Amino acid sequence: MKKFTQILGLIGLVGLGVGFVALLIGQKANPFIYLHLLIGGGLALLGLLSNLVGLRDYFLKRAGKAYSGAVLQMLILLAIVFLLGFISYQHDRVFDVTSNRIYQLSPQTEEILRQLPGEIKVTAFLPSVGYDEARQLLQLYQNQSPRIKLEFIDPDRHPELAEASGISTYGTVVFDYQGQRTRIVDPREDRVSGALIKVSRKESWAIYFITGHGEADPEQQDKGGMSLIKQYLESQNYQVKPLQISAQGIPEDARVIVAAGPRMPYQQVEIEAIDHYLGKGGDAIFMLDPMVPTNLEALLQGYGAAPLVGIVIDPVNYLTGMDAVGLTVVANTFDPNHEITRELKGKLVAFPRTQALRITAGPEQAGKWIPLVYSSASSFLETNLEEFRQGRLYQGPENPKGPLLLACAYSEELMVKPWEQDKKKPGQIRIALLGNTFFMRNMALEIYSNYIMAINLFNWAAGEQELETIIPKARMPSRVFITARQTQLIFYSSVLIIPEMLCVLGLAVWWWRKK
Amino acid sequence: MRVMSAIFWKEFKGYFLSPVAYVVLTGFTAISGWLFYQLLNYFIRITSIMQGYMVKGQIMREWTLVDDVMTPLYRNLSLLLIIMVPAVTMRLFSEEKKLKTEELLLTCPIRMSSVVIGKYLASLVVLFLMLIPVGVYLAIILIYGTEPDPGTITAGYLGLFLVSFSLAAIGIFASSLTENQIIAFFVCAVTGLFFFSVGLASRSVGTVKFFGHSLDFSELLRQLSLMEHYNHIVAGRIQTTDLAYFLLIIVFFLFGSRVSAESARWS
Repeated sequence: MKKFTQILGLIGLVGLGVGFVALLIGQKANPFIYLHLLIGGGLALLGLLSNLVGLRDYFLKRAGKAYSGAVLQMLILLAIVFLLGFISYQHDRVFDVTSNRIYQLSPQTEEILRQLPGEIKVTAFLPSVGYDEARQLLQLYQNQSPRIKLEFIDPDRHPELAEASGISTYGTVVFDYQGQRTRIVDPREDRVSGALIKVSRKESWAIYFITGHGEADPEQQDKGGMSLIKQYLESQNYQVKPLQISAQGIPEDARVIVAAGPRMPYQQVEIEAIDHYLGKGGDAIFMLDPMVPTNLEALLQGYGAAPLVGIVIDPVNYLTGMDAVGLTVVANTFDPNHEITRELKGKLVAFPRTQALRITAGPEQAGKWIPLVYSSASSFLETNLEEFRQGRLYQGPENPKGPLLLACAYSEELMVKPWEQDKKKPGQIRIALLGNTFFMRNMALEIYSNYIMAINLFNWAAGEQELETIIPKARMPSRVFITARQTQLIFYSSVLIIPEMLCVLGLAVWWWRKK
Repeated sequence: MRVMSAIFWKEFKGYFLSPVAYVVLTGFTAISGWLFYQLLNYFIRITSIMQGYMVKGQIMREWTLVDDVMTPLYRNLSLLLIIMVPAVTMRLFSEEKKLKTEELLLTCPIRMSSVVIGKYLASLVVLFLMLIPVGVYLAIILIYGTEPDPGTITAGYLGLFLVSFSLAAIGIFASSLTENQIIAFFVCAVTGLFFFSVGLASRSVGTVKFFGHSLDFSELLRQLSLMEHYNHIVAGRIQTTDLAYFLLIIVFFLFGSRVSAESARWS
């Protein structure tokens, strides 16, 4: 009978434990938990009461005292371990040992945080599953600046809060500052920093993409569209808007206008509007695809640069995945000092279907053109376009040879008359001229370092010197260069020879000990 | 110190005069070498074909030695350690109990902590020898790889040592509980597996009301998880909590072993 009650007591303890754990995990009591807690508790109590004398005798013995003392010591140590663990958790420090310091904020972000005008409320709607990197990133911002008030909300547990903020996507982060609000999805450093600037900046900068001539569309999400660059620009605090010059002229709030690969010529009135806009200190990006006359050539010629008729072919440095003859030129020669290209040292930019450019400006030109990107020496300009259209390539002595200019930038300081200085800030005309649009379209934007160049292009054109590109940090791509013979050596030594030696040694010891 | 040294040398010789160390070293070296060779070979092949990991024709990230060779290697090896470490530690106290030589230790006027640490250090030496080949793989990557991220790769290697040393502490504790080596092996392996996988449960629990206070149970489980802390180190993001975690695991289980062995002295 005594044995039986002892077993019942033990079963009761197990049931009590299971019920307790189920209560912790399930959080809501249900009949299963109640049953375990009640029956387990009852049996444990029964076992305890019916063996009270035996238990008392056991604990009075030396062995009982030793074991109960041991359990007590372990419990005390467990409490100390939890306490020390909690203290270390509260005073946690992170050591980033990666080469690229991918777990630290960039200097640009640190500068942005230093210049925050006031307290910004950041509400991150992240589910408890996953999104660890996003959580860690936002905590870095909070640790860096006392002006960031960060709150995490799990939209699964608090759907009412998500609904109140109009959140329908996991990973949305909302930024609030003095009545202004902006939001991003899938937080990365460039997006978060862009959102911080956007929400704390009073004025909003607009980039207008000219429409009506078959230009690349920032709303279009297929390969030929420019929806990716639109996303990047919006994360960098720009508004991307369409512009129909013939109908509305060029708006006053235009920070930059973009001609992204027109497929038909501009009308004279449109050219005049652009010329007038530039003359007032406007900024523009012209991306002109080969074999399409646009009427912009004459305007650009006036500033001292023009496209060359033809298409650039590079039979050596080209992206094999995109064409077979060398139409997707891979450039690696950049101006090391210009804001658009100085980050591209040692990197590559792919220009699919590009034309070459020529700078004709002389010393009498008020502004200055800077050549930005050149193709390699193996490239040439295919000028016989009729033959090219029929799929035939011909490289003759009359074809201009590489390096060919693929992109250039013009800047001119505007002189402001003394009596106008109060009304008008000293301005600058900025023109970026590129021989194609394809490098910025969805199909190629994420190839090599295309998007770095694209973002730098817009930042420079908008005069955004203080906001340089924040490149999302990642590990550097790596390769292993070993010969087939070395690979074999690794296989034989690590998989066969060393284990074999150890095995033989073990057998020898075993044999020797056996004797 | 003298006692600790004597125990250490006794255990150390015990490992290498029996087949235990050779079986463990051979098995671990062969499996780790095979894993490394496969991962490296795959990396060389895939980097010659594709620029990066692609989804719907777009490169999501470029191939890196850390993400595509060393991290999978370290993660697989850490799981392998769950089997290998108990094999090294299971005999430390269990054998003494079974052969009744424990009584000799218990009746001698020596500190039980010296015995525990001496045995623990002997097992650490075996584990150290076991992990040396992984250092050779690391050297191969650092010599022949471009942009190998040496800080992260070395941190992962150190993380492997921390995991094996923590499991050894658990193993010696398990061995102090029973005279049956198989039970000691399984107790250590299951406890190790618990610490590895407890973080997975954090996904299904949230904040718990506990005596009127709300407790973030999912965060508690995440912090209890050995895998969680190990993953930080392997990724090159070393937190002081990670180091404290491994240190506390080692201290707790070594102290537990001492208490367990000491209680046998008075029973």
